[in-house]
Amino acid sequence: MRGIISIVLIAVFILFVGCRKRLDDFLFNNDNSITEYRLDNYAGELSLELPTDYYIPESDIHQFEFTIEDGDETLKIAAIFVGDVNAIQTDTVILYCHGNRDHMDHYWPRQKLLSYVGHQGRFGVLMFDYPGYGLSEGKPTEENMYAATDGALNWLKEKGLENDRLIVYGYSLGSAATCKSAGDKSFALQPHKIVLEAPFASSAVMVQDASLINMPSSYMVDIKIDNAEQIKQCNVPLYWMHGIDDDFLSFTSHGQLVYNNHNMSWKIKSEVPGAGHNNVPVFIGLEEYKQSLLSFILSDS
Amino acid sequence: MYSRNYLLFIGIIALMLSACGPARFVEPLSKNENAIGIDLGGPMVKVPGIATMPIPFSSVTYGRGVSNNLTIHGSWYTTAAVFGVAQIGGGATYGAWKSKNQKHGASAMLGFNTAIDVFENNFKFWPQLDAHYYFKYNFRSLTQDDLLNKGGRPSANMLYVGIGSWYELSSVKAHGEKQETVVVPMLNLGHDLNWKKWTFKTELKLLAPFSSNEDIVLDYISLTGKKGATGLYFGLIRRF
Repeated sequence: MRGIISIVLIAVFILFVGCRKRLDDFLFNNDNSITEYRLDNYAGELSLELPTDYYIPESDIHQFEFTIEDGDETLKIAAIFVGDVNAIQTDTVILYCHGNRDHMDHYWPRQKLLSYVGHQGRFGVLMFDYPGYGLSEGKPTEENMYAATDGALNWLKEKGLENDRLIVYGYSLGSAATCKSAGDKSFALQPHKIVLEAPFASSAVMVQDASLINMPSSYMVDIKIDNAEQIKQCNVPLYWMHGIDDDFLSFTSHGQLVYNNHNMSWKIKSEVPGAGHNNVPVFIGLEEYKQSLLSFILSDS
Repeated sequence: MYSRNYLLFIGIIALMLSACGPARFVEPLSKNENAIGIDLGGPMVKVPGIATMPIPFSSVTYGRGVSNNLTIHGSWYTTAAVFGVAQIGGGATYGAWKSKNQKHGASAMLGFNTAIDVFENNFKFWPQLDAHYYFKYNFRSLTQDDLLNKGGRPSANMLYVGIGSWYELSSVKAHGEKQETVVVPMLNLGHDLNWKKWTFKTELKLLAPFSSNEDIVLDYISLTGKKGATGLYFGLIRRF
């Protein structure tokens, strides 16, 4: 009996002292094995299938790097701007914050689609890889994801962009960076309007959806991403789109909560029947999707 | 695309914590009898690209017979501890009825589960209420040890069926939303394969069989289709 008690006590000690596993790393499903971005020639899985006539002239594709500080480290962040760089100082720009998968090649069709809002090249579209994604250096964390977003905004600011011509579009994980940039004054620019596609509410909602009971998210993760609360600080117009059949981030407990918590009266939504998590633009219809975004960007109220 | 990995793992752990373990001491121990058990298992989930499998949730349980009808017990959830969550459960199982030939019986368990994490010290308390009917078969001959130490009970294998329930005491959940699930019901179907000092336990558990398992982060495998989840548990108990 003493032996059993000893083993149990040792197990308790080991488990509490040595094993404090957290699940935060699973947030970032990054791929940094590539040596270059292949864009239209990328053979991996894509976030969206686009018709082949969505073509971007080579002259409109600008790959570049900017740097951010991540603690003691300086990290190079890879980015792609589609459009006329010189027009940044006069026209509206969309900053696209992608999801948590792979790298920019995976989301390239989405950047192309946004560059066709209005007509091809109507708005400049900037996309960047979070640290640890694609050719961006570092290991992804919540904090350096925000730092990279701020770095992208800083690059746009240096090119002459001002707040009233900035649209930030967040898809899935990117909704965190979007809400943060709109709600925190510490970013280089604050967006004039934001678009959230299939946003998640918070880790707490994820945990509680799965467990049915009111279980604290601190039982599993340290991350503080909380779009449901952060959106309350976002005093800019919101366009929310979400697939009603999203079997991953529930339309009701995630998207609708974020939308309802947005305090401004000017907000619009697309509740998309039949759409899941990854195909909202397709189910809206690509033409209607582009038209609705154009209307949102150009409308005064 | 938002990868399922992160949410899948969060969901799995969340469910592991709430899915608890198999039913404890469906037939109460004899007076002054002790038992230590370990169990492994959990709800069945489909892990993309890997397999459909029960989640390996583990716990260690100690029980003691206060009388021939009342056993008190406590459990420590070892998998939860890996994540920095001190989760323990406790309860008392009362033998409510037993047939004269001791083949049939019924018991009820009133218990609780508590958990606190070492990171933010978030504390939770969930009451638990179970009720089981059991049927014993394959009786062995009564031995002197049975007479001396087990209240005259001959060992036999046991089948049991019952219901379990967890109760959420919070009226609100994250972001002030209404906590709509107050009771998480479970239907348990189990078997105890008994030897003189050892028991091998197998239990099938239908978790929350009336709640939708769609549009959430896990791909549950459930005998009730799009409702709830089905758990599979194995346990080993040593009596002394």
